[in-house]
Amino acid sequence: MAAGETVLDADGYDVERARDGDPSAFDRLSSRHFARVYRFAYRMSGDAELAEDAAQGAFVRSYRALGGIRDGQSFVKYLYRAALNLLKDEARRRSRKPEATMDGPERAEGGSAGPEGSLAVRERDAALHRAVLALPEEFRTVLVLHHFEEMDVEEIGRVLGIPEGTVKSRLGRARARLREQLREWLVG
Amino acid sequence: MKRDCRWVNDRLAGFREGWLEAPERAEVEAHLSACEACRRELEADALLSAALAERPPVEVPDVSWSDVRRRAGLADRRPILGRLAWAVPAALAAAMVGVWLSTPRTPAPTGTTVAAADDAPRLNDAFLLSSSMDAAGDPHRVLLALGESVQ
Repeated sequence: MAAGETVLDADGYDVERARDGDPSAFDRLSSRHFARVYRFAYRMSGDAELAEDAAQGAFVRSYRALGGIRDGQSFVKYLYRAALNLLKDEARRRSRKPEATMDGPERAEGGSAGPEGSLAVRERDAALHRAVLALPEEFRTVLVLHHFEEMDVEEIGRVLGIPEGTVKSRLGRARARLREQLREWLVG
Repeated sequence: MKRDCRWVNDRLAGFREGWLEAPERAEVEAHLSACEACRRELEADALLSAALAERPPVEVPDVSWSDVRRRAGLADRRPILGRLAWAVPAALAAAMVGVWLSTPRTPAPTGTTVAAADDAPRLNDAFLLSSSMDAAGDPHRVLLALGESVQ
């Protein structure tokens, strides 16, 4: 097996080992993917505590569902879906749209005061964070998966179980809304 | 077909990223050639893309799977038994209780001592708990369902 193949199959290998009861296998899966699931949940919710709960919950659910997960790709897809469903459940419980919190800029790395350029960038990022959180959930999901999780349209369609055309349409409309919200930052 | 600005706006991201099919792309191009507002919008989308591409950092908490597993009370994974394996012994236990409760008491032959109903053998609470509880289960619910008192 070539080195590249080994790297690509790491998730698949560990899913199989975890299914067979190897505890270290799921440890590796968690180490490899927790950060991305957390970042996704945080960018979707703007709430660090909720994001941590959703990310942890996604791994608990995927652990329980290992018997039905066939390979590494399915595992990652399951994680994102589980995190998204947990966030939706929480949003329904709270019965309100997720609101931007000042957690965003404060939790960001390298947040100490710096030259004016850095402050302007941080303010822009804070505005971007708020605008993303203000998007309808279906637009926000595809935008976060594409721009922050670096998934292509096909992958997003697989994760969310929607056609590629729908992904593209939602992305286009999400960006149109963001441009509207961030006009003061984008106009030269 | 002449398209309005709203239709074009929703497709500017696709236009820039190359997602649009040829006919749609041609319509967007035709509109852009005649609409300065949409050309400015296209420039704004380029700036937005650049801002999104910078991916403002997110601090990730240090969480280990063993911590999560311990908090969730997850047992080691058993390859053969599934999540609902507890339900089979629980169902059997419930059925046994039901059979026992519905079994008519026949009078004992003369001279034979019969144990009173209260002294009759009871299912072991520990057995119920161990077989009925999954990682997130509530043993009290099982006991209440069977009419047992909860200590």
